[in-house]
Amino acid sequence: MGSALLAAALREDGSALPGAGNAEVQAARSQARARLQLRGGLAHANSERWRYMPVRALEAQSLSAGEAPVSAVEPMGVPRVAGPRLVFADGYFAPSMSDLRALPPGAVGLSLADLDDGQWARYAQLLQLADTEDELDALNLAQARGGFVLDVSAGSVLDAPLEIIHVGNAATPIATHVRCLVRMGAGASVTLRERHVGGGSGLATVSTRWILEEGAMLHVVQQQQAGASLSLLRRDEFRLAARSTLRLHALELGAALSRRDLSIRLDGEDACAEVRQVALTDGRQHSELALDLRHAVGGTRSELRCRAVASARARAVLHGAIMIEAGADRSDASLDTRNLLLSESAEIDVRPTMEIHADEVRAAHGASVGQIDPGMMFYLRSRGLSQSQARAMLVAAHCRALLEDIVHPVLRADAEAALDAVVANWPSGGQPA
Amino acid sequence: MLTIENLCVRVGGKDILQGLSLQVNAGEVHAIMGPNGAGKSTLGNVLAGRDGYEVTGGSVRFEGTDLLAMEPEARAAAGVFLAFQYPVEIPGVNNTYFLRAALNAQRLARGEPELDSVQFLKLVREKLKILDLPDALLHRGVNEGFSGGEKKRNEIFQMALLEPKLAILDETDSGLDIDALRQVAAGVNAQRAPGRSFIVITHYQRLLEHIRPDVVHVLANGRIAASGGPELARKLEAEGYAGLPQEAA
Repeated sequence: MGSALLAAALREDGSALPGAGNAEVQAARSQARARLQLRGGLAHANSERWRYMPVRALEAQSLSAGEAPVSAVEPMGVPRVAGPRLVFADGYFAPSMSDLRALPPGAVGLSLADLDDGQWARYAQLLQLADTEDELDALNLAQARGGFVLDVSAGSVLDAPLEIIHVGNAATPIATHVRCLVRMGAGASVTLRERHVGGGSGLATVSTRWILEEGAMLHVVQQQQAGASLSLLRRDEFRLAARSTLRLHALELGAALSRRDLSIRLDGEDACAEVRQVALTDGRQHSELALDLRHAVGGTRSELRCRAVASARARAVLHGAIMIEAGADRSDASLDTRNLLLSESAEIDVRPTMEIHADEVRAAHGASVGQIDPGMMFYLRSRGLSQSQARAMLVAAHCRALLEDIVHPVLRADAEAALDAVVANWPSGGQPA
Repeated sequence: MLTIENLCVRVGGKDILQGLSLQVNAGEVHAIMGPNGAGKSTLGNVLAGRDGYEVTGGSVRFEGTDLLAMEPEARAAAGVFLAFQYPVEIPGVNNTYFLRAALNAQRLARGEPELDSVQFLKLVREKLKILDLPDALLHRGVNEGFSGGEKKRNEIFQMALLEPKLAILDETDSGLDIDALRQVAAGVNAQRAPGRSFIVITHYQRLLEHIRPDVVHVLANGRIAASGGPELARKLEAEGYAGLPQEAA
């Protein structure tokens, strides 16, 4: 089949993975393998949603699953913050580095490895395959070793925030697959930060289902600062019931190759999704956002704002669709993407589409790709800042505008600091390598 | 301090400065007046190092150094400051953060120690008083949402903070009401010092009633057409540029 990656996945029979003794889990994993075998690859060569991805190069990698690391988190450069946290080191749940004692009553955090039969049944969404034309989710399900369930009961409030950390640590390239479920009961409120940090190389996939019941409120900050040799493929699938709210701030800073499949479905009246994504790319980095946002019922609202910066030979991509389905009248959708191209060899591809099958909707979209304003550059330099200082300041400002509405002050300050640090330390200073 | 000899500058294929010569000594205030299109702003931009201005002849020496060979930031560190005619709005770059970075970049380039945030804020408070600028402006983006008058006052505030040796004020009076004009002029006058020189570019004599120049020059057709004392400015105000000697107009 020409795919070392898939061949390895098909050899995995699940007997050493979480849920090995559970027939439902085994059946689901088996079904995932069957999907992989049928397709013979991650995605069809002519798949529009994968056209920007170096799929064959990804698949050609022959990667082992790696082993559970034994070292503690602090030496790996992850600062400890107050509040509950879940740590995955090289894809394995790391109990010694995690701390769930601070979870409030009404919130349950479970490692995939610890789920009993009753819990597998209760959290069956973990075993459902995403309805997509690619097999990323199948690959993840077939081999997921680590993962968690966060179950927040109706009305519970978790604003500490919960920290989820994925640490790359292995010295050799490995493949890791993490699968998660976040379930929020009616009126529950959660603030959560998920970070990818450390080194590591090879491939990491993370597939997470986020389920928001009526009136739930979720604020997620995803800060991706993965190792410079890693390929990271994330799939985040949000389902929003009536009057629930999602606020997602995503900061894409690291990894050699980073793709985020963002699926959001507004399933109930007055559900609302606000997404802010910032992607900074340099060197030969590739960062991609594949969007699938659906307004399934009327009176729903979505607002996406994305800013990407590409320098050197990097590439930033945004594509996908916002669909307002038939009957979703009075929906309100907006997409705004503004991008900066800092070198002649960099590339930015922006190809959003909007499909509207309903009446009386408000839909707005705007996209721009430009360069740093020379007037601003000159102003800053005329006051004594070097060209690289001025460029860093302007790039950071361009991106920071999307981080301003992170409500949690520590999360906002951390995100801004991470952004500034990356821009200030760009090895090529934004010029072609 | 500043010696400009026979400076020729082309912008967009058009010769704007055509043999301009000017000598500014330490502590002097020179006013440059002239009709629209005479090249007044070109002079300011060339001295500060803006792209797009092609020097086709002549030289500019600042304290003995070839100014035109220096990057804009090196000119700033050496003590050249341009108060912009149209200060740029830079959303997202915090005014205080920017000013501290700029001041410290200049200090670093001069081999002076950087100011920490406490020292910097003390300095800022001191200078803010002179311009009567509200504290709140410091927490906004650079010039973001500033009124026209606030932008101009912010330029003079930056000048006060950066303490240049040569300040070029490019039509700092344009768009100001009489109160703002007085404030700006007071800010400039407070900065006058034996070691600091000014080039005040203006259309009107009005500003020069508040900032007394040592020398007034008339710029026409890309060169200095006439020079004199403050009385020249008043004459121009009364008679207009049409009254200039024929070869200069």
